[in-house]
Formats: sequence, C-alpha cells, structure tokens
Amino acid sequence: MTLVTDAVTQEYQRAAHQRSRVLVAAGLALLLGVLLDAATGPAFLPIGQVAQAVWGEAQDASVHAIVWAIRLPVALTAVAVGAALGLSGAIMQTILNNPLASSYTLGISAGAGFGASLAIVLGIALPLPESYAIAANAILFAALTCAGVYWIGGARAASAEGLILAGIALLFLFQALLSGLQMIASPESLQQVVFWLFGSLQKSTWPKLAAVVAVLLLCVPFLVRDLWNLTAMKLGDARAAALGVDVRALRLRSFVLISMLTGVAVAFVGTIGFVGLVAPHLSRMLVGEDQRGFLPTSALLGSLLLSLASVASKTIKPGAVIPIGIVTALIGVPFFMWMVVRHRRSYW
Amino acid sequence: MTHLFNRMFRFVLCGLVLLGTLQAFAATTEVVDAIGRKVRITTPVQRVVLNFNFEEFTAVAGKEGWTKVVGISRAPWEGWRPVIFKRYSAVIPNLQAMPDIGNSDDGNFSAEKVIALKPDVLFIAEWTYKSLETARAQIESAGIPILVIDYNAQQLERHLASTRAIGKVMGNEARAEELASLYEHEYKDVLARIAKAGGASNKKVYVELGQAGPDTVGNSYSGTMWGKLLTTLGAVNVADGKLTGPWGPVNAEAVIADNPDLIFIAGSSWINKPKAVKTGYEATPDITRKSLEPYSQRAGWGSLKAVKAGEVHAIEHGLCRTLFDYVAMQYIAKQLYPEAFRDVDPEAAFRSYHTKYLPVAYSGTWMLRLKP
Amino acid sequence: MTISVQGLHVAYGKKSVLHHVNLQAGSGRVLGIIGPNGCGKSTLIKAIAGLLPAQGHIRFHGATQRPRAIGYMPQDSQAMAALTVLEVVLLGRIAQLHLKVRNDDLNAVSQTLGSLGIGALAPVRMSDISGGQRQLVYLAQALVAQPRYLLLDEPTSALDISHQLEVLAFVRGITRAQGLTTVMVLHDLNAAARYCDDIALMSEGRVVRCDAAAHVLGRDAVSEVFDVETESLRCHDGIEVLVAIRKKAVAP
Repeated sequence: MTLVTDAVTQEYQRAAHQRSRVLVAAGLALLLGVLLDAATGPAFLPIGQVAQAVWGEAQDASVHAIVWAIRLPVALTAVAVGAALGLSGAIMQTILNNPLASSYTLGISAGAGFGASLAIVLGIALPLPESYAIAANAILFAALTCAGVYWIGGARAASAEGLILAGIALLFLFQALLSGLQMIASPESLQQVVFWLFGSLQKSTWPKLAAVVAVLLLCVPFLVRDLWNLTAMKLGDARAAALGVDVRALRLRSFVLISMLTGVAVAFVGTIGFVGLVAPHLSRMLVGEDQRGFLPTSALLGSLLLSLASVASKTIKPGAVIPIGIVTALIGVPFFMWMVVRHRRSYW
Repeated sequence: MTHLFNRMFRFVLCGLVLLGTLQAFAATTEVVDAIGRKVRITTPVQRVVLNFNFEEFTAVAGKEGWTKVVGISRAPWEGWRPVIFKRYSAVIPNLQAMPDIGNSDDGNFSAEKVIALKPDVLFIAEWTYKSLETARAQIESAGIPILVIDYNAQQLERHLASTRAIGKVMGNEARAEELASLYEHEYKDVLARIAKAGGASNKKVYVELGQAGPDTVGNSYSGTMWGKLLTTLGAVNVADGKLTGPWGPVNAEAVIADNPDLIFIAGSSWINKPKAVKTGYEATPDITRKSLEPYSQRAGWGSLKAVKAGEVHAIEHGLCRTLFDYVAMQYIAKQLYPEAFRDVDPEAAFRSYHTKYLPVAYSGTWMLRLKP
Repeated sequence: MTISVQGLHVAYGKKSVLHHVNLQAGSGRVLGIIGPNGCGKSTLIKAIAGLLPAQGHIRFHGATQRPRAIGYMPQDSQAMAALTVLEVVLLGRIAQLHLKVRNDDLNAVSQTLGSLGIGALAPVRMSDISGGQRQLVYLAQALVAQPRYLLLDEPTSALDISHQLEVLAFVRGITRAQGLTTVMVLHDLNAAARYCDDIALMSEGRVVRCDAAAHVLGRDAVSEVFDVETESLRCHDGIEVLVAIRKKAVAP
C-alpha cells in the first residue's frame, strides 16, 4: 500500500525518530553512568585498573574483588532498581491519571518500609536468612498496600480519585505505624531501620540483582500486551471504555505489576524517593504519551537518574558514601519545584 | 673459573635452602576465634586491619605489633576515647595517620576500603560482625580471613579465646597466654572472694552512661557490658527487664522506684561533651567529682539509698569490655562486699597492668566515689 | 446491518432510567434520538454500545453478540490529554493495532482526518485545539476503524453552525455511501429533521415515537414532549422547521 506523504506520516515519523533518538541517547548516557559508577568508590582505584578488572584481567586480586564483588553489583543494581522505579511510576501516573502519583505518594514505599522495619525491630518475618527476610517482608507489605489501596479505593468502581485518596490514607497510616515501631525499637534496631529508610545501594549482591532483573523481565510481556490500552487510558476512563478497554481489569493488572516492581526495588535497597516521580515526567517531556516510547524511556531515565545519583553519593564527600535516598531527594526536590513553577501551560 | 663457579654454586644453594626454610615458616594456621569460627590464616601475617579492642591488641602484640597494622576503624577509638587515642598516637608512630575503614554503627564501614588495604587478616568485634552481612561476604570473597573477637559479652571464655586468637595470629602466643592466665586468675579470684563472702549480695545497682550530662538519661545495660558484669558479681541490675534491647535508657521514674543501693555513672574523656562525667588519663579526682556531683542533684535522687549512703561512683566506661576489666570488677565488688575485698587495690592493679603490658604510662582517675 | 432494540430496561440502582424501550435502526439510514434533558438519550446510546448493564434485547443484524465494528463517540470532551491528534485517532483502531504501527493504520488515519478537513492537525496536541476541533477528532476516532455501526452522542454540540452542517452532512453521506447503520443523539430538532432519516422521540425514559423523520416531528408530538408552544415554517426544500415560541402556559 502506498504511503500517503502528508501531515500524518510526517508526524508519525517525527515521533518515531524522536523516540529512537531519546532511547539511544539515554542508553549511551546510562552506559557512561554505569562506567562512572564502577570507577568511583572509597578505594580510589585508578580507572585503568577498574577497566582491566572489568575485562577480567585484573592485575591484582584485591582490585578484582572490589570491582566484581562490590562495584559492579552496585552499578548494575542502580540500573535495575532505577528501571523498576521509573517504570512503576510511569504506569501509576498513567492508570491514575495523576502527575503526582508514584509509589512513594501512594504509600506503597511506606508500606514496604514498614514491613522491613517489622522484620528488623520485632523479628516478625518469614523464616528466611536475615537479609532476605527483610526483603521478603518489604515485598509482602508492598503487595498488601497495593491491595489495600485497590480495595479501599473502591475496587468495583476503581476510579482514579478513589485510588489516590486511598493511597494517601495508607501513606499516613504506615508512616504513623513506622513512627510507633521506631519508638519501641532498641537502639541497634532503630539504627538499622533508619539506615534502611535512607536507602542504600551498598548492600547489593549478584543474587539480589538477579531477583530484581527477573521481576523486570517478568513484567515486560504483560506491559507489551497493554501498551495501547494504557495509551487509551490517557483519554479518561469513559473514552477508554468507549474504545473497548476494560478499565477495571487494566487497573487491577497494572496494580499487580506496580506492586511487584516497587516491592522488589524497595526490598533490597530501602526507600528511594523521587525517581518514580521524576523519570516519567522527564520521559513525557521528551517522547510524549505514546506508551511504546513513554514506558521504556521512563525505565531508562530511571536507571540513568539512579546511576548518576550513585556516582554523586560517592563523590560528594570523597572517601565516604552518602545514602542514596538523600541524594535522590536533593535532586528531586528542586526538579519538583521547577516543574510546578515552569508549567503554566499544562502539558499534562 | 671453577673457583668462581663453586662460590656461585654455594651461594645459590644457600639461597635455595633459605627459601625452603622460609616456605616452611609461611604456614597456614587454623585459629579459632571468639565465637567459635575456625579461620585459616597464613602466618606470619604482614598486614593487619583492626576494628576494635585496640588496647587488647597492643597488650598482646606489643608496640611492635602496630608496625603491621595498615588500617583501623577510627571512630570507636579516636571518636569514643579521644584522650586515650591521643596518648597512644604519641607512642605508636603510624597511628595518627592510620587509614579509616569506617564503623558499622555509623553506617560507613567500607568493605571496599578493607579490600584495598590488602590485609592478611581482619580483626573485628562481634557487634560489627553481626551487622555486616553483605560486607563480610565481600571481604571473604576477596580472600581476606575475618577473625571475630568479643570482649563485649563479658564472658570469661570469650575474653580468653579472643586473647589467645590474637596471640596466635600475631605470633605472640607466649604473651597472650600470660595475659589470659592473668585475667583468668583475677576473674576467678573475684568470684571466689564473693563466694567466701556468702554469695550474691542482691544489692540493687544502677549503671548509667554519663555522656550527655544529668539532664539526659543515658544508656544502661542488660545482659552485656556493665549489665553482664553486675550480674556476674551477684548484684541485681536495675536495668534488667526494663530494656527493649541489650542497652538503652531506663525510665527515670523506674530508677527512683527501684531505689538502688549503689549507683555507677560511666564516664570517659569525650571531647565536645561538656556535661559528661570525666574520667581517664587527664582527670584529677577533683575534676571527676565536680562532673559527677550534678548527678546526685537529679530530681528525686536525693531520696535514693545510694545517694544517702554516699554510694555514687564514677567509673571509666572504657574499662568494660577489655582485657583489664577485672579492675572494674574488683572496684565494683569492693563496694558490694567491702570486707571480702578489703585487701584488693584496683587502682594498683591497673597501674601494674600499664607498666607490664601497655606502652602508655598510667595516670589520672578511673574509678572514684563521689563522697571522699 | 440493522440494530433492533426490544424491551430495553436500564436502571441506576433502584432508579429506573429507561423503560421498555423499543427501536429500530436500518442500514444505510441515520436514526436520530431526540428528547428533553434527562430523558435518557445518552443512556440509551451507551446501552446500545454495550457500556451499561441492561435488560432486554439488543440485536445487531439479528445476532445478540455485539460486533467489533462499532464506532462509538461519547458525549463529553473534557479530557485534555497530552496526546497528539494523530495518537488519539490512531487509538480508534486499538482493536487492530500491533506494537508497530503499519501503513494501513496510518493511511486510515490520514483518510479519516482528511475527510473531516482536519488533516493538518495531526501533530497538534489535543490541549492546543479548540473544543469544536476536538469534537471532530473524536468523530474521526470513531470512524477510523471503518465501523459498520456508528453510535454518536451529540457529535456537533461544540461546533458552530457552519461546521455543524458540514459534519451532519458528512455523517449522512458516509452512512448512505457505505451502508452504515448510524444512531445519533441530537438536541437540535431541526438538524435532526434535516439530516436524519428516522427519528426516535424520547420522554422520561421511554420512546414515545419511532418512525421516519417527517412523521415524528409534528407540532403536537414535539409540544407534548418538550412542553413548549411551537410554530412551524416550511423551507424551500420542503423540510418543516419548528421554532419554539414559549413555554406552555399552565392551566389555571
């Protein structure tokens, strides 16, 4: 069939090219970020040695150990967790039609944090070795929170506003419970809880990374199937339903995905805020709402943000590692303010 | 020509023999650490990283042992006992500039830094070991053996095991044995005297960390450190049953309600803590008493048995969980069982320990009653 | 391709909104649904589109299973999505879209936008066009999948008279040319008179009359249902135009 060269085709090609350009650029930037991440750290290893170790030809057993047991898991976990956070934030903003929706604002991160603290302070957890028990609890409570949001928000009607209000209510609930836990915690548990809440990539290991990547990969086919349905959600519930989208079922499916992605991200690295909020907004500004571009770009930008934050957390105070949740907040807040100020004309 | 060749041959032969003997010396020893882990270490070690219990290490390995140390956790010494650290820095040349591997309590323990220092062994305290799951695995994967020492538990077996482990690793087994025997002897002597005095006194004792001054309730201990010591000495620890963990502040009302017979405020030589109880190398009895006095003025304390009987004491916090904590035990026991310990002089014991085993001279006030 | 509705009941909770509705829409013909506010016009068309639970029978070409090829255009146009016109219209083909958009899809969009005269708007964001233009875009969305049945809920409410005539003429045109079955909710009686072949007049959840346009839009029926006094004028092309003069006086 011959292609009619007109405004339609031009626009489509422009959008497609823009998507490719952004993905490639973000991908390259991410690669750079990962290399930087692997090259920085309290041991101040020269880049040449790091590169050698990555290729498997480390001159020194200790350099090899640092690069392979510490730096690479951290760098790659930043990528995986960033992608999970960016993706879950993107999905959430779409199905709830709200620019402020993120796993943080909907209380899912708070729920996961509470679950983790429950394991740390009271030892109430599934019977697993310690670091996995805390993670498992975090995932469990993220799922419970998602279910709670869905149920309280009115599962049958499942309107966006209802879900958001339910999410905020749960956010406050879990923050209060968390404070209560902190009050009764012994000083050592308290310290652990606080550090967990700060968020840290420093406890990354290869098995944990594999878990996050597995969940990410698991989500992909489900998202691919729903790409156009999600785009249709941008038209509002009524019109999406008019197009034949089962809005309720889509929301439910999406919630399950969000709970998995958020749960696994928070479980191993603690609560890291703002990535799930900032990445989708940046993505929207660059490639628009077509979910075929919006979702992968959100994931990629999430990875990039967290990767750069990881580098920053190691270089702001040379020799020390600042908890990454603090770094992302320091980036996120000004961005948030800029967003509010700049967008007089709504692009939402 | 042949002459030259012969000389060379003999030289080479000597070299080979020497190499052979050296190989025999570079052996892999199996050491059992304080929590029963069997660790294989290549001895003699050339590079050591320490996390805690620095005075114990010094006593066992001597000043010379420090030449092999390449990194420490600075916070638990320089941060927690600054005056002591200063004195040791004066006599140990490489201490002041020693690289810092971080402290698990502050969340900045860095496995990366440890690995980068390429040590042959890492000595860590049990409390550090427990909180570092990932870092442990990373360090061990780099082939660095980890040896756990534990003086915090205040258990005789662990004190001895830790001391002997350090000795075996550093090649100072004789000295380690001497210290272990000394500790065991003094420890058992205290217990024997208590038994002779008729067993546990069941007097109520309250211990509090006097770091933040009398306006704040400092930590007390149960089942560990001072708490364990008190129980071992047959006293009733006021903190028992009142804490959510092994240490933490006891509610002020509960202390008054319990009406303890003796009170010990643990002081030290912290900097930037103007209201703290001052003890240590640079404290005179006057200074110590002046810093301790406000505690007896606390609301409701005037009515306490301990205050009325003049049984409020300052005691150096750094005395517990060490190889010389028997002097603290002696001092506390002396207050609990005055008759049985009449001829025991804890200060003299501490002075003697310094002379024999530590490179730093004894001075100052370490254990003192408020009312002279 | 007829749509046949029999005994349709729709209730929101206890409140019954449509009672016993019967109507027929034939292929190649435009059926207009008119009536006062709140009489259930939108509800009726939503029920036909399958978006509401309903009792009774709705048959498409004799079959009760709803076909895929229905183009439904809902009434409200407030959602200001950041989507471009192209993306919105493309979504009309959502049932056939794959991961990669094919030339077929793009051509369909192109043609549909062109036939409505808004081809140049393809790259523009929905939030940057007027209300009337948005309505045209949503109409395009309903048309782009080449449906056999068109269900339009007030498709011209935001358009000026010139565009109104254009769109209504267009809808009638393709209905006849392609043999579509079109059901349209309108609230302009005269537009309905001019552009619909059949009309269903509704009042309080019931269809009072359902017949060819000329037979339904008599002065008496309209006065009765809309509670107004009317006068009629006959135009040059023979179509009667009704003008509402005043509300009916209440008998003392």
